[in-house]
Amino acid sequence: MKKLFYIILIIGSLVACKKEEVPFYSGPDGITIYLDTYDTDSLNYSFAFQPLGTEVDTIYLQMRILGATKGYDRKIRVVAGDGTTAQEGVDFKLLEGVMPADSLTISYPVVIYNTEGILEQAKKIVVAVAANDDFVPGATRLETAGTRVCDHYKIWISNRVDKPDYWSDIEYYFGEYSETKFRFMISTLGITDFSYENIGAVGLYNYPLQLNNALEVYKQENQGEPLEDEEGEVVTFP
Amino acid sequence: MRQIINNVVVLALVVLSLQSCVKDDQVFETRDINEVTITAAQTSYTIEQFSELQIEPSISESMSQDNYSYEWKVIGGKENISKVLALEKNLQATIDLLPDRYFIQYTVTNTDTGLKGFRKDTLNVVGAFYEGWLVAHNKSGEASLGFVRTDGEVFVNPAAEANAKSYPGTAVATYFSPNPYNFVLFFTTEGAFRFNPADLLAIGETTEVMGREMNFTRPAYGLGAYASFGGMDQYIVDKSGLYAGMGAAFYPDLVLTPVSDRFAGDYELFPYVFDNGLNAYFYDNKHKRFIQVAYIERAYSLTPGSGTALFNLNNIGKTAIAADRGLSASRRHFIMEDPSGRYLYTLNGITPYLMQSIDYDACPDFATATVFRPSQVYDHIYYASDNKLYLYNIPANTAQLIYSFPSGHQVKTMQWSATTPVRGLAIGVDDGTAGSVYFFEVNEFGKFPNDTFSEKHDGFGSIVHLAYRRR
Repeated sequence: MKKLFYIILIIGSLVACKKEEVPFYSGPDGITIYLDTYDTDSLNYSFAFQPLGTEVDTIYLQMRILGATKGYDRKIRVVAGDGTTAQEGVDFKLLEGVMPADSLTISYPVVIYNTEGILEQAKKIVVAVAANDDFVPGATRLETAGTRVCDHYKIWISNRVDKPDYWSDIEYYFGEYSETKFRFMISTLGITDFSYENIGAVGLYNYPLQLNNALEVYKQENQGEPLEDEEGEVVTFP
Repeated sequence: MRQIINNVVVLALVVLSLQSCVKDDQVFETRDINEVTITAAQTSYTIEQFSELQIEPSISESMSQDNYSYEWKVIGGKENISKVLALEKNLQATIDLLPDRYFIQYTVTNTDTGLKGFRKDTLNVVGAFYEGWLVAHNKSGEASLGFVRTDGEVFVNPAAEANAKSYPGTAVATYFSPNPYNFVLFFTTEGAFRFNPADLLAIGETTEVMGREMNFTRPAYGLGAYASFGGMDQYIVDKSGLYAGMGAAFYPDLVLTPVSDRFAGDYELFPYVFDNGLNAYFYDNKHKRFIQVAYIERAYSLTPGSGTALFNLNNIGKTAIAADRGLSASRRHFIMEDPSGRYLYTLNGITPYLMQSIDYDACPDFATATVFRPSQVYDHIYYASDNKLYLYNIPANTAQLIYSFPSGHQVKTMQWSATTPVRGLAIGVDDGTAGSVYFFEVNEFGKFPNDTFSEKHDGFGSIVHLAYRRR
């Protein structure tokens, strides 16, 4: 009897293990904007800090699908959401996105333009995905694998020049700040970051001379009139 | 039943234990093998870059002669290289490695047994141009940078050979900047070129030196304040203007960055730089006065002068045509001229020290001299007019002819030679197309022993400038 019990026990343990069925997503195909853990859901972009003559630029947003990949290209509908103050078609353009066949992610381009409208005031673009025949907005407010979904990505565009935080560190070499002076520095030297970390000792000592020489050229090209800033002061470098 | 089961179990255990024992088939026979021993005459080799290294090692075998393969390999150095030089028993190879300390490894492989014998020695590669005189000259229409090594070896245009290129324009000057800078500068009318002094391989061209394309007339290069510590700044002076680069005293990592823009202002500087510790000084030939630049600054100011001093630094009123240090590093001689004649202006530091009008009656050909060089051991200045070389005695304000070069030749440039190859003068002379470098030893009277040169090196073109490249 005891033996029979043990035999039954052995046979029973052998049939106790069975394969678990893994459930797959069965909802509608979705598309989302997503961010890495430490990314913010907004961006400040100023044309004033781009190389001289930049009239158009592109900002890329990361998007991924919810659901299985497909063996054909699918369209993504991207819209300007509530809170957008920039003018679509003038200040920016949202193109029709395409998720290529067999792909999980894309970099979606938001095209922005350096218009007069952003010279004095920053404008906002709120980017969001919208439903179409191929996708619905994906799982929102979720975090997974060190990333998180972003319902609305905000882009501030401007052509303003703001006094950089590091100016006090370089004031001895470049003098008192003014917007006109800073724009002149950017356009003359073709760089936008004048922090010590970027320009080093060579920049601190040599750039002011180069800028002074450029001011002299400006003066010669403007009937002997020096460059004046927004306060009417003559722009100089030490 | 239990007994049957127990018996079966025991029987099974016995059968299994018998199967676990396996006979060991190892063979413990030993036999002698043919071992090689490698010997060579040296354990350390020093060779000049681009020279041929020959090593003939001796290989002895413990048994009968077998077949071998060989490999010579260089390993190590700053770049941590591994390069096979040869696959022959004896080494005969041109060493084109960068100057550095390496190991040379010799491997002998028995092709029958696969056994290897090794030998590892030290290999020091030194640059071909370790010490000597740089010669800027123009030969056959080409701007050339030559070299006279201290052992007398002459290289007519090694920079062009090392870099497999020719340099545009006409050669106008050459300079050596020692450690920590460690580069050679070569200027032509159409650019500035920087070389590694060990092998004269190029390490920069005009835009990397000057920050832009530029032409040159007669440039000077020198260090500014704290020159003895490597200088806070480097300066390049030419007819087009004054330019400053980062100095090694504060920024050793930035010494190869391009120099600044032209210093703003209305000036035309004589090509000469000197310092007195805190400032760098220059002479403005346009306004006939001295100017100064504080360290790390990129603008000049007028050197303070006094109307009651021996001469007013702010108002010299004459054109500088020559300048260099004299007896000491703080003694600076300037040959100045105006319509009334030529003059000697001497500074001690930045203080007016001497000012005298040259007595042409007592100093023949001084009025037409084109090359000047003060002595650094006596109160003398050497000057040359055409093919004649004179010794000017400063306190006496007199001069005498001490050497004449062949007729049809002209003294083009002169430098003071502190020790190598002589203590005296290095002089470049040519007949318009063919040039030679002379070395004259100077005796206790400032003249030349036996009234002649110590060394003469031919093969150059029209010589324009000399510079000493020290070890």
